Amino acid sequence: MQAAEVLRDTIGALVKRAPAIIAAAARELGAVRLLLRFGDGSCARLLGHSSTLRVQLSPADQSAEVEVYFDDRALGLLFDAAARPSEQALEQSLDMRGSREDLLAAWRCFRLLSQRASGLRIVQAIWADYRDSRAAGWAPPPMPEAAPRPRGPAHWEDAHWPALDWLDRRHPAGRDLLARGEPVLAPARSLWNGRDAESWQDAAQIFDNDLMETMARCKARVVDEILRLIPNKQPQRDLYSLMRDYVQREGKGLRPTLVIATCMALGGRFEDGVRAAAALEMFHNGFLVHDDIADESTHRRGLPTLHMSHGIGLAVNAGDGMHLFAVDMTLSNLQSVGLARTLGIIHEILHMCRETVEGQAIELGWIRRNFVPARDADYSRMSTKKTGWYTCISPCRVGRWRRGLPNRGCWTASTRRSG
Amino acid sequence: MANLHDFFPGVRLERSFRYTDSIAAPRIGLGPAGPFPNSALHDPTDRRWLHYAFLSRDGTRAMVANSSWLGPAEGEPAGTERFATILLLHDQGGWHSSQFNAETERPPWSAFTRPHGHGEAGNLRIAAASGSPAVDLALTRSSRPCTSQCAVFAGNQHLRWQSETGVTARGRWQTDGPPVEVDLVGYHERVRGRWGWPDLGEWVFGFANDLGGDPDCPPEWAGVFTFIRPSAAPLEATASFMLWHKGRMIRHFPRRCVSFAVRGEIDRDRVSIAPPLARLLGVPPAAPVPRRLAITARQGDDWLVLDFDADAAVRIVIPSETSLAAFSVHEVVGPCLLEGCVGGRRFQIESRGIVEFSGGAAGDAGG
Repeated sequence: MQAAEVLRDTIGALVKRAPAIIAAAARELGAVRLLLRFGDGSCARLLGHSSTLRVQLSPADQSAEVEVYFDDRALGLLFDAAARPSEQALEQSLDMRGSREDLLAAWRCFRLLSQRASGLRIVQAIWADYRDSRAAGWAPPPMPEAAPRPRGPAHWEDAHWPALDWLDRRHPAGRDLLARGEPVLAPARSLWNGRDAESWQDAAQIFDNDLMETMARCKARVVDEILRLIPNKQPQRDLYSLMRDYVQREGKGLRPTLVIATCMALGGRFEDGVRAAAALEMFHNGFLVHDDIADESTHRRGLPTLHMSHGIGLAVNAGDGMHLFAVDMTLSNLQSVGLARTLGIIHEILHMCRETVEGQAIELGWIRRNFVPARDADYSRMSTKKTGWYTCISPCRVGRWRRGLPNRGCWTASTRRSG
Repeated sequence: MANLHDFFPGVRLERSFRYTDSIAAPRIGLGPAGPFPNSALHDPTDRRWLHYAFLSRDGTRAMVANSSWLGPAEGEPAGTERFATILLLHDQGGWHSSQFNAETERPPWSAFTRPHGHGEAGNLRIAAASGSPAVDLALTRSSRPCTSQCAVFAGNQHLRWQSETGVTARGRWQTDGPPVEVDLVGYHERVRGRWGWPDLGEWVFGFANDLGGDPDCPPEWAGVFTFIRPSAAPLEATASFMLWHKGRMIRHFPRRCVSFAVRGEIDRDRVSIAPPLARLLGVPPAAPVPRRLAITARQGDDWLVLDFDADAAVRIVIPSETSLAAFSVHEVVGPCLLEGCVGGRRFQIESRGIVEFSGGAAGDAGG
């Protein structure tokens, strides 16, 4: 893949997924036409057109107000948030030519794209592919054995092998890092560069993709656990298969992630939180099934709602069954965590259910009476009860209970704020 | 009082040399004279260690053991020493650890405290009080040690160490199953110093050996590296990389000439905790352990790169004498690549290594 194609794919993805960013970038660019040349020989034209940006690869007409040259280093420095080069762009890495006003317009456009788009998951995925496709290009360059070097104390600036650069840009030849699960998105951190020392214990910077990947892992593990616990017996067609299909639908996995993350943050292990997370996820699914009926929704997670595809009766029954299995999953913690913690978790979940049904009742009552609350506080109270508790507050509190730590007032306050 | 002999050892004196109080606590605060004196420990934070780290030649096993002497606690008579030994074995079944009360000879085998010739085998027997894990090894030196090195920090605290690579170990290895015969090669180190864990901050220690070649000869290449970062004064940080070739240390890359970098994290699920009793004490979680470590060094025309990947880790929880938070030593094993150019000669080995990522005691001291 060439750099111009990466730019085209990035702009194309943003036009579809984040048109507001593209519109803002197009406003900054105005009528300026950019001709972009890249270090790998590819070429593209970037121009604004009716609140959007267009990319033309290898344009025949190469006239432009601003001409820009990028090499890999400058390109990555601008747009690749997940793996920025460890060093500043070199003098010859970036060259922009044009009038002062046009240059500033182009730079504002680049800066906006860099700041607002480079952190998006879709953009990071494109750039990860680009990095991977160029992995061979990061192999160590031949050592300048023949080049004469001055004798005497080593000057670190002259050494071309800082460890940070090695981790960021090179890897041993013949080693397939991706196959071994190399964390390509995690940036390397310097511990010692000959002058400055950093702690190896400093937490690594988190990127969008890391969060998405973590949520996907938590969700997948919890869904596996749920599928394992749903009985493989009759009636399959009208109950268990409905439940099984529903929990496998596309979802973010926010609640399981919060349960497991809280448990791990307090010293627990990943597996410690799975069963409690599965119980919460089952409650969530049961609420969704019933909520869709109450709201008369037609679609959920990209597919027809359960009552639209199987009728209201079966959907209500499947939702009840999910709640029943959620209680069952909660009780199944008994053997692994003991009676006290299990009762604590049950207490949390009962509290969560009460808050949720109260919030749902408030909202449905407003709809029935065609009432709109005048105060923001009333709406905030309703949404906190209906959604906040079982989306954020309870998963964190259950994760804390799963670790064996009872919740206290300050914990509730802090999680409510985060919720 | 110090006497003339302290400063001019060659001068003949009327009376024989003896340690005095002033020698045990000298004015410059760097401990008794001499790099590793066989003198009593006086302060609660005075320490003496013998450290062992071995890897099997087939790369499937790793052993880490440490014997330590600690100075008297407050109220104890001067000269009282507390002795502790811990043994950790790693194989396909994971990590097996003793408590801090593993049984061994006092003092255990050491190339330093029990000098002997090359090729002469000596025994190292360490066993958990429960009987497992345990090792009964015949250790043989094949190489020569480096010169001792010293890190000074936080005023009068210091850590001094001396390493020797190419120690071979053959004998029995006992974990959960029946004993097995093993053939290991690794390194041995002695440490002497006076430090509190919060002031020490953290370190990254480790070694890599060429595991192939003639088992009766020293490894073709071996490296030992060090990075110490005191918590209160990062400017006192130090680092080094020492390279052995056929049993002799041929290059020492000092602090200005090396760089260390890490990337990624080992999943917390994959980090075991040792000793087993530590689980009962509810120790707080430690920072995630880096997954990949790269070290580069260059001095003149010589350069080298070490690229280490972690595939297993264990966290040894060490109570701190001067803070509430425990000090954690993460023993990490995994494959590594060592390549470089020394004296115009290129070399490259793919092997396994053991790395220690340590720290955490400063958590309650604002460090």
